[in-house]
Amino acid sequence: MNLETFFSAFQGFEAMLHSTPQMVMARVGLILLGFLLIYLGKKGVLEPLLMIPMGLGMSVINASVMLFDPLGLHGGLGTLFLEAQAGAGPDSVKNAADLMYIMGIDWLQPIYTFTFSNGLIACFVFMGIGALLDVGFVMARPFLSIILALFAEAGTIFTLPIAQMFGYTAKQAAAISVVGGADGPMVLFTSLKLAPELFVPIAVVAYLYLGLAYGGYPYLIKFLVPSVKLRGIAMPADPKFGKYNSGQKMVFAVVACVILCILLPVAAPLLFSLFLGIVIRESGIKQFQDLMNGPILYGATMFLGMTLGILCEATTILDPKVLPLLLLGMLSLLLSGIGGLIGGYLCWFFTKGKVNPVIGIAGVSCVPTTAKVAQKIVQHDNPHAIIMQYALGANVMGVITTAIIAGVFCSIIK
Amino acid sequence: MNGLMISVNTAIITIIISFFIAIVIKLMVVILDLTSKPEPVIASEPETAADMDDESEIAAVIAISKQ
Repeated sequence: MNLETFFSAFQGFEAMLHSTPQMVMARVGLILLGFLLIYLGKKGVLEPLLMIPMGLGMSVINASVMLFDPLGLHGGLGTLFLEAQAGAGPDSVKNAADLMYIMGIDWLQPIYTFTFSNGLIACFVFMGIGALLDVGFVMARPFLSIILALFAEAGTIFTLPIAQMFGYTAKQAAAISVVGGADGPMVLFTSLKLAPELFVPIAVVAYLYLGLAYGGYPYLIKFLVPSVKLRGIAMPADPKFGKYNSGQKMVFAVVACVILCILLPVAAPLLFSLFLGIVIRESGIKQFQDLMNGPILYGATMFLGMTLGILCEATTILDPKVLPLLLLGMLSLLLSGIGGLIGGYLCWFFTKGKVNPVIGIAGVSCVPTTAKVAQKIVQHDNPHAIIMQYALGANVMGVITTAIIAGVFCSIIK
Repeated sequence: MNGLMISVNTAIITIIISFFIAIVIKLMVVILDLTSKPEPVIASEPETAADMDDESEIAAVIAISKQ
């Protein structure tokens, strides 16, 4: 028996023999990266809700490649998980037949096609996020929240022209720059609308970086706010924070939702999902609250993380289109963090030192990650300082401003 | 369309809509304040750990316990 015959009994190894050495090394590297993401998620360095399923998905998909390519799209190699390209392309009849065929083979294909590639899972996640948000903080300090959120959109605004310099079209550049809004569902939604051909790499890059933001932003804060005294500024609790009852918050959510949907109907599905979550939270209907806070949020998050990990197969990551996206995504989030902290500094200056500049990072709308990061940093330097309410106000408003920007992009870029 | 023009236009529109929303929130808050009944005074009961599900209050407890 020769070596090839021996390895043909183990299809994973057989697939490696049929791959280039670079591809084999890439697959092994991604398997190890998956292990690292799981470890860092378990340790709490990165967001565990996403990184653990994503890391496992990434490791498994790169280990599961075999000589199997029913649609002939990948040179003879494939997996039994999902085919991201099934159903794509101009020939709708053939593609529909291919899609139905692959649905009967790949076990995650229905999840991907019916919830991922149409934005439904993004809407579910947004419903769950809405059910966690207390809009009382926004109602108490709307202008402070909005100023911080607007500055934290710097990454989205400045990355778009830079992305065009890399050779992307206006629509592709807009889809990439929305990563700076640090809002995963919004990134999925915008890339589906504006650049569906880049949907998979943009989604993978965005969520990878959003997971990394938790670990990276503290360093940015310490670099840009080096003074311990500034970082430790205590902001006394505003008596307005606990003032609004659930009925008042519901009125706010309903009115804001309708106004934003009138202004930006292209973003209406996501806006509706977010505000539905908020309304359910304030409604007092416990069964719906349990549904939103439990199966919808955590089920959607788990399948989202898992599917993203499954999409991190080596041929996707090594696509030459992905490397510029890795750089632009990082730039976008970095500029947003810097912009948010600049906004924090301006608020500190104009309020004569009453506002802690660190809360500017919470304008980057990774809810509630960046608010937690801000509180953790501040508390480390001043254990008596509680700035969480202000940070959450900026966080919530950041979600709304990112939705506004996404809606504007979809409306003005034809 | 040029990327720079798109960014500038987007920034302007976003700022306008965002401040419009902030003004609407402020107006809503004023109207809600004027139309809401005053809260009845209830004798306060000591809070238990089970009541504290607001993250800010949890953070306050952690901060106080570290004194």
